[in-house]
Amino acid sequence: MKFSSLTAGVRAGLAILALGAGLGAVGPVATGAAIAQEFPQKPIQIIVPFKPGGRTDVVARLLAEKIQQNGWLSQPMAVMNADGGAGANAVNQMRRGGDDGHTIVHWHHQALIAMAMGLGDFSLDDFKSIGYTGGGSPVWVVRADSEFDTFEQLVAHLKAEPRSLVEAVGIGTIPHFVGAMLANEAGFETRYVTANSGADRLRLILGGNADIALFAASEYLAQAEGLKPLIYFGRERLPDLPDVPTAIELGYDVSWANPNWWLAPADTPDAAIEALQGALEKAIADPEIVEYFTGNTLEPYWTPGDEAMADAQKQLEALQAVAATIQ
Amino acid sequence: MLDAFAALMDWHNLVLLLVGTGLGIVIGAIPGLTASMLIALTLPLTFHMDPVNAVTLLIGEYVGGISGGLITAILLRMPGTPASIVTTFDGYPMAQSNRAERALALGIMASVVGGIISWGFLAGMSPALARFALKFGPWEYFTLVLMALVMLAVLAQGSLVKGLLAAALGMAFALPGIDSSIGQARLTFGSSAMLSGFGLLPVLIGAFAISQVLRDAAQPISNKKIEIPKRRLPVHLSDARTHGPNMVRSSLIGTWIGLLPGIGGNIAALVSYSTAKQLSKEPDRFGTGHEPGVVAGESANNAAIGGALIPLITMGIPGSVTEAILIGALTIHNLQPGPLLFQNAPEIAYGIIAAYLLANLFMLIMMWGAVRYIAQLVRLPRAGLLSVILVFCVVGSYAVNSSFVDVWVMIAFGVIGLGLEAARVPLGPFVIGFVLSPIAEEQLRASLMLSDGNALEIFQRPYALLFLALAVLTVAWPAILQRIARRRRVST
Amino acid sequence: MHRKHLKYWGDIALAVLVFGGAAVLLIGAAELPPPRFEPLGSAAVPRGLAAILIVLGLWVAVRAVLGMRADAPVASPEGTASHPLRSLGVLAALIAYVAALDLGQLPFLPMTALFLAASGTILSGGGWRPALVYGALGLALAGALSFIFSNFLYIEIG
Repeated sequence: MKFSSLTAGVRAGLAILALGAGLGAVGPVATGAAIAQEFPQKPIQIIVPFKPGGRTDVVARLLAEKIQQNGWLSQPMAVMNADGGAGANAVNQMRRGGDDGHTIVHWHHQALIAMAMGLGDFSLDDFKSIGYTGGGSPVWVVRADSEFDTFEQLVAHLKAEPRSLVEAVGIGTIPHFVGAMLANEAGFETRYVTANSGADRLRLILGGNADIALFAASEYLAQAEGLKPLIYFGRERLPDLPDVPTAIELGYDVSWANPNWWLAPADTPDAAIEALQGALEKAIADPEIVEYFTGNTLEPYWTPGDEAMADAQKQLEALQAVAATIQ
Repeated sequence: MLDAFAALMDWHNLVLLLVGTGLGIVIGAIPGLTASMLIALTLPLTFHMDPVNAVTLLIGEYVGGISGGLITAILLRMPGTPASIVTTFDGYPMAQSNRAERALALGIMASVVGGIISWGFLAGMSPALARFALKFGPWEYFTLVLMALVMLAVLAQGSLVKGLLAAALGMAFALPGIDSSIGQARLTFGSSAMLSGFGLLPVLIGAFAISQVLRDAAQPISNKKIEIPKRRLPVHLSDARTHGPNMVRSSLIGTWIGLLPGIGGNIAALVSYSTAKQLSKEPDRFGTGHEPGVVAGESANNAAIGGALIPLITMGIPGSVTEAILIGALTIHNLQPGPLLFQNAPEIAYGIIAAYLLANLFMLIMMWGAVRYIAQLVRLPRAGLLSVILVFCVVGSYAVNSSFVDVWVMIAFGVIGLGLEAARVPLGPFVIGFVLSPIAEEQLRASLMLSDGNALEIFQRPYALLFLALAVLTVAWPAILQRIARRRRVST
Repeated sequence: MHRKHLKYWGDIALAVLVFGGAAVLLIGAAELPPPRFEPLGSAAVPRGLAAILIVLGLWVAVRAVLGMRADAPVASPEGTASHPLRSLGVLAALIAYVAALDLGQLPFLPMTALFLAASGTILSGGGWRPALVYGALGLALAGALSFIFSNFLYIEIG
């Protein structure tokens, strides 16, 4: 008796589910057909391949909100965080979302590093570039009480005693690649210690467990007396750091301007891309956005999709050359 | 500092803090949803707030979320955060033996004491402590985590071999994904979904919440009405004497471990729990519903928040995802946390400190007022309660990374958890081994990079040696106790 | 198989699974690059863990065999689980629910209501009344959740 009521319960429950699956299957067919009128038709999903709170996430949210406020697109934009797997998770989400322009990705050149390292199953061919909305360059710093006051002194020391200084980097992350490009160009070698986040790098260098680390200029500025910048990776000097030379000035052909890069699936219709470009270009010129960028030592600028893609292609080749030396 | 408190007294701030703490408690208490998720999701709402308002709201959510986790850990054996895993060891058996109110009340008291003690350090000696914590490099991190792992083995209830096996299995499940020491795929067998590895939250929710729901589902529905206690809350003045030293010790351990960025509340709770057990006269009662177990874990995990805020506000170094989001909330308002924060935006720096204390007090008032009603949760119709929990688990593990892979992982670990429990392999060491081993491996390999492959460099690191010695002592302690006892017997 | 030997057979099954896991670790470790930046490299920890798992698995298995020889009576581990079918039913419902959301990309609201109806019915032992009650509860819960997520937090579930 008891047993039969029990199996009946399970059976009834599963029957309800089966019924539901049947009903539901009828549902979404209608929505698939009616696309390709005005873009956008529904809220646009911006996938950010990082946890919330970082620069890429914040910039995406700020621009999305500015666009919504001013009605530059007829539908809201919603940010979705998809951290993990060096971007593989985000790319999977993008593929899942379809290629009608309502699912886009806001990333930066870490994407290129993932490609250069052969992580994940994506390449530049999977994307159509919408454009860059500004970006920022990092500085290489040593501790304030370090014996080195200029980059030349550091290089001279490392050439005399190779691997005598410790550089805090996450192997296979931006700081590692930027440092390696500089090291290849200037002909020195450092020792590495694993530091996969800005927080780790700061912790290790301030505590004396590392000698050199890479930071966003704004991160350095917030630390004030603890650190000493030696070299800046922008093409030109940063107004906030007038005394810090660029690598190019010192004769090394290395620059890293990590852009806020907007990407869509490769088969996205051009009309949708253009609508997105129009909105983003207006947003990056907005005074409030400009204020945020300059306040965080970022440069606000607009680089349209093809130009951005060509730049990325060039950057990727440089990164692949570095990746070949470390793998 | 006083100015900061005065500023907080503005009704706007108070309301936000109240709302934040309340939301945090509710979200933290729901299995599947966590404080860091709540903070991440409310981040966009803070864009248009005044920065002080934004920070008060987020701090309230942070404190409330960690504290709320104890409710379901005790009542349902479903820790809301990894930091509450230890609380399930004794809290759940207490609830099972009809002492749910007592366990909750003790947990709340311990949380508040932990919060207030660590606040003292935060307000009083932040810069000095932060400088001290920064001295800790890879060797110290590695040995500290190693010590925690060794303590796991000691904690293992029942069979030692099953406890060790649980920890080793947990460690094995942490391996797939990107090897953080070299940035390359490991044990992913070519799958891009596996590149992210198994997420902490899906594993935690799966192993504890899902497997618990499935286990509960098989239990007969008891028609026995459980007596609802009508008396006042079961906390007495004498508790200050019995539990006081434990609370203070655990809070100090919690603050101190919380100071180290990236280590966090779960190790703090684990270390203070096993310390309490080792120093106890009745270590065998731990894990069977022993009150000091609840007290140790809950004081430590709340104290760890205060500890973690120290490097955050003095150096701008976040200790966890939650704190990284706090930094994000500040940078939106063009504020960079770091040593200059106290000069450039003292209202923020002191505001965080003041809000942390107030959030703890609000948490006390709210949870204290609600504890008797909260405890009724277990007496709700079980069919509804368990089903609703499942929905929250699905939504929660999806929302972390917007990925259904995480949901499937959660279900898989629910089944694995059920199987492990059936084979009497304990879940606590399983999940803690999962959490700790990636840190241990990364730090050990970082140490070896630092020393150019020379493992002997550890002997130049006094703190690392200290942790190593403590780890050895942890293993040897039961034997030492036995010998002492034998000697006493001989001499009398 | 004697009922009181259940625990030992369980332990042996556990040991077999653990050996399987260790094998997976060893196979995976074989494909990893050699150490590059420090002497341990990527493969050291998987190999070490595999060795530990094998030792512990052997320990469990030997103890189980010895225990069975000694024929020590042991209480059944699953003594109190009186409705194992309900666990299976809820698990099946959960899998169907997530599959509907993920693979089927079906809408969150009705699927949640159906899941709650199914799971509530299974857990309370059958009948159409609980199905309706829990279905309604599910609808309310899903409505509240998707309202909060999509209006305040801009997240679409499913």
